[in-house]
Order: sequence, then C-alpha cells, then structure tokens
Amino acid sequence: MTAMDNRTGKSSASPRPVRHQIVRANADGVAARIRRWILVLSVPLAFFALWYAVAEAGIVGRIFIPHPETILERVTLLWRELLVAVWVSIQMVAMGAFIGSVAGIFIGLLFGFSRLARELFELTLDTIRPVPIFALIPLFVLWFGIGLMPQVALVALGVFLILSFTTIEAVRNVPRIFVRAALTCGASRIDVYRTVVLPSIVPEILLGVRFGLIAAWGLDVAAEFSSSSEGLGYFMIVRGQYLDTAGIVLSVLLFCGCAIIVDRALRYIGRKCMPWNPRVTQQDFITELLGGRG
Amino acid sequence: MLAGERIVDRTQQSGMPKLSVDGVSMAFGDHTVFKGIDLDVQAGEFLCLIGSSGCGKTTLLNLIAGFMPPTEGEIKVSGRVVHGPGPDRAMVFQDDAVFPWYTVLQNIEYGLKIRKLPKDERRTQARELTELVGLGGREDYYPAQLSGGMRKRVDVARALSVQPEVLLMDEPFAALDAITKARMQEEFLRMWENRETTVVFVTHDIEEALFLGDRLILMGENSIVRETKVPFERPRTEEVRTSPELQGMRREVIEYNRSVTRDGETGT
Repeated sequence: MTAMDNRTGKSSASPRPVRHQIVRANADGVAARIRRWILVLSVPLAFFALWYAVAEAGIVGRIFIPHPETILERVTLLWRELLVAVWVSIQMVAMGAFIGSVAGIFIGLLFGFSRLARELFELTLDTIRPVPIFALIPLFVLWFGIGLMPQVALVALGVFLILSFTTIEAVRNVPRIFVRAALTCGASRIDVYRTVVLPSIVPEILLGVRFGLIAAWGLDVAAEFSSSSEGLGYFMIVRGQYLDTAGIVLSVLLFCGCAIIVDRALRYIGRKCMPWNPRVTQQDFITELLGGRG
Repeated sequence: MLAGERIVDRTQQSGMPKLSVDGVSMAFGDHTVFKGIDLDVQAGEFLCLIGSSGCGKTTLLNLIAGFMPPTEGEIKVSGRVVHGPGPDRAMVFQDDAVFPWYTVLQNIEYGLKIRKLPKDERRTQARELTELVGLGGREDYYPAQLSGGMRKRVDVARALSVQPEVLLMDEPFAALDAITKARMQEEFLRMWENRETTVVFVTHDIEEALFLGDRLILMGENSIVRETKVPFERPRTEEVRTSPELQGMRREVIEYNRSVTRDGETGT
C-alpha cells in the first residue's frame, strides 16, 4: 500500500525534494543535535580505536607507535612540566600572532590608502614573502640570541607576511560600487576607509588570521626546536633525545588541541561580528550547498 | 509647495541652470564615447537620459557624479565646476549599492553621520525617510534580509537623506520585476513631487522616461540626437502610463532612435 498525501491525493512515493532533507538536517531539535555529534565524533573515535587496537596487538614496535596508556602515564608523570610548556608556547604564539596580525593588517591597509607606501614597500615585501621563514632561524638566533625574542620575532614575521598579503588583496577586492555610494554621500577618503573598506574586508581578514594562526603553531615549534630552552617544542626535542615516542605524540596532540580551540574560537568570533553576512547567518539550502555556515 | 508650481514648465530657462554640461567629450583611449555634449538642467527639473546600451548615458552620469573627469569640457552644479564626487550629487545605482554590514536605518542615516549630525537629529531624519520609502518597522533589518525592491528603497532613501542639489539615478529600477518596478516608479514620483529635487535619470526604458520625466534626452552613437519635452500634467497617475498619448510618443521615440542608429551604422 502506498501512502497518500492528504491534500493532493497524489502518491508520496516520489523522491522528496532535496531542500526538505537539508532543512531537517539543520533543525535544532535534540535528536538532530545528537545525530550531529555522533557524526562529528565518529571519525576521531574510530581513529583512536584503531590506534588502541594496533598498540594492543603489538604488531608495531612501541617505539614507533606508543600505547595510548603510555601517553596517559606521561601525562600523570609530567603534567606540571607540560602545563608550563604549553603555557609558554601559547604565550609565544599569542604574542607573535598578535604583533604579526596587527602589523600585517596595518601595512595592508596602508598599501590601499597610500600610493607612496605601495611604491616604497611593495617590491621589498614581494621579495621577502617567498623566503622560507624556517631558513631564517639561524639568523634570528644570531641576532636575538636564545629565548623569547627570536621565537616571537619568527612567529610574528610569518603571520605578518600572511596577513599583509591577505589584507592587500582584500582591500583590492572591495566592491567599487560601495566606495562610489559612500563618496556620493559625502564620505572623505578616511570615511571610506572607516565605513566601507574596514567592514567589508572583515571576512577575509578573519580568514587570514585563521591561516596565520595555523602557520604560527608550526613556526613556534620550529623556533622552540632550535632556539629555546622552554615551551612545548623544546619539550618535544628533549623527549626525542630520550627516544620517548609517547612524549612526542603527546606534544603533538597538545599542539593540535591548542590549534583547534583557537581556530574554533576565531570562527565563533567571526559569526558574532558579522551578523550581516548571509554566509554566516542564513541557514538556507544555498549556504548548505556551499559548505555550511562560518 | 504651491499648487500653481506644478503648471510651471520646469524645462524652461530661468536664470542659472542647476546643472550644466558644457562641451563635454569623453574617450577611453582611442574609443570615443561621446563628443561635445551640451546640456542644461533647470532647478526642480526631472530629466531623463535615454539611449540604447553602450550609447554612453551611464558614462555621462558618472562624469556628472565626478567619478572621473571628462576628456574635454566642464560640468557645473549651481555654477561650481565638478571636481569629484560629492553629496550635492547623490546617486542611486543600478546594482545593489546598499552597505550589507549596516542595518536599514544605519544605511539611511549614513550620509548624515558622515556630515556629523548629532545622533538624535540624524535618527529622527532617518526614521522619517524610512517611513517615506515604506520600510517602517524594518529599521533593524540587514540588507541580506530584504528583497531587491526593499534594498532599492533603502538606496533611494540614503541618496535623499543628503538632500542633493541634483539626484543622479542610473537605471535604478532596471533590475526589478515589472510589478515592483511600476510601483517603485509611482512611489518615487510621489516623493519627488513633494520634494522638487532636480533629477537626472538614466534609463533605456522609454516608457519609464516618459512616465517620470519632464524632458527626455535621447543619446545616439556619440552625441545627443533628440530632445523631447514631456507634456503630461502632474501628479501623474497610472492612467498616464497607459494613455494613447504616452504610448504614441514612445513609438515615435523608438522609431526615431532606430532611424538614427541605422544612419549611424551606414555612416561609419
């Protein structure tokens, strides 16, 4: 027996429109939420299960793939040291990323605003950009010594290069019609910058900051490898010298944890500061087609 | 506003024109858009610039707006030479120009905020304009939450808020559906009749031009080819649009444009 639709009397055996399904997936009901979290966590949990099984079976040597329990042991044994290391690294990344972002966004805006600035710095900036920053570590150590300075400088430089590039492009992409509209309303150059350029580049800047922070963690590790006596990267190197794979994996996991928390926080901030952006606020099926919100 | 004013022929020369275009030519590299355009617009006149796509009507409007300087000639508003964009020549655009990051009210008060009007004052004015364009109750909506027609109303209100000497409109209703378009035209006409702003309105829709304007300027290949006074009395209603007189003039203009274009094509 085929189910019949009350109103039309037509058979409802025909496939449901796509939109319908998507709206259901987006519904904020408890069942939908549970379903979502199961999906979200299934891959990491499966990965962990596989890891546990491999370690338990002893197919691969402990030195290559440590047992999850060994890692737990490290945590209970070294948690004070770890806490300090993580805190140091977070500070490095935060300081470097902050300085780099502010400087990058500033130079990007300045480039848009002033032709003189462009002519003065463009060639220099374009020349520096492709230089592998890791290659500068020895120089930085030479100039700034061992400690916080070379690390912060390295992270800041890397983030700066990303953010300056993103900002310059974002400013160039500001729709001209908004600038024209502002000008015919009496806006000055500075007004245009304040009321049109700045708000319209926020989404791209935020993307740049997210990219910058991803790079920042990597730069921080590299810097701590070679020019530090503290931080999570240094902890990693020391563990490596003891051939303590569990310690190394633990550091990696901690880095990942920090990075994901920061990235999710930035996405959240982005949603909060752009209530006007349909990409962020609308939960329609177009947004769904384009990869969801945020 | 006196009732008698409506009978006055606004296209008639009366002292200094509000807007004057003197011998203006424009070329992009080797490509000449138009040559030696002369045009005077009187205070309170509703002038429509019409012509086929690519005839340069939008370019002329952009020159008046001051987005770029003409290759030759001068444009003056109330006797002052135009050197760049300004609020004395606010513009309503063809495409969506409403700032998506501002709410309806913030968009409408934009020009007043730029002018540094105290908050209370600009809020009051902006609210009045919001009502005027029929968006009362939607002050706190973001443009993404509005329909195309509503966004156009915001755009119109924002341009009106700065009380321009000449309001420039670049095919503002072209992207709207036929029904919304007709309604917007009528509403805009009511607003204009109450405010008596000088308007330069670019369109390729001859019916629209005849319905709204006091005078039509038809642009051909690279110059003005015809000037037509629109005789219909104001306030104009929907009947004017469908009247045989208007439709007859429309046909005449279309045929004239066709003959000129054909000549132009064989000539070059």
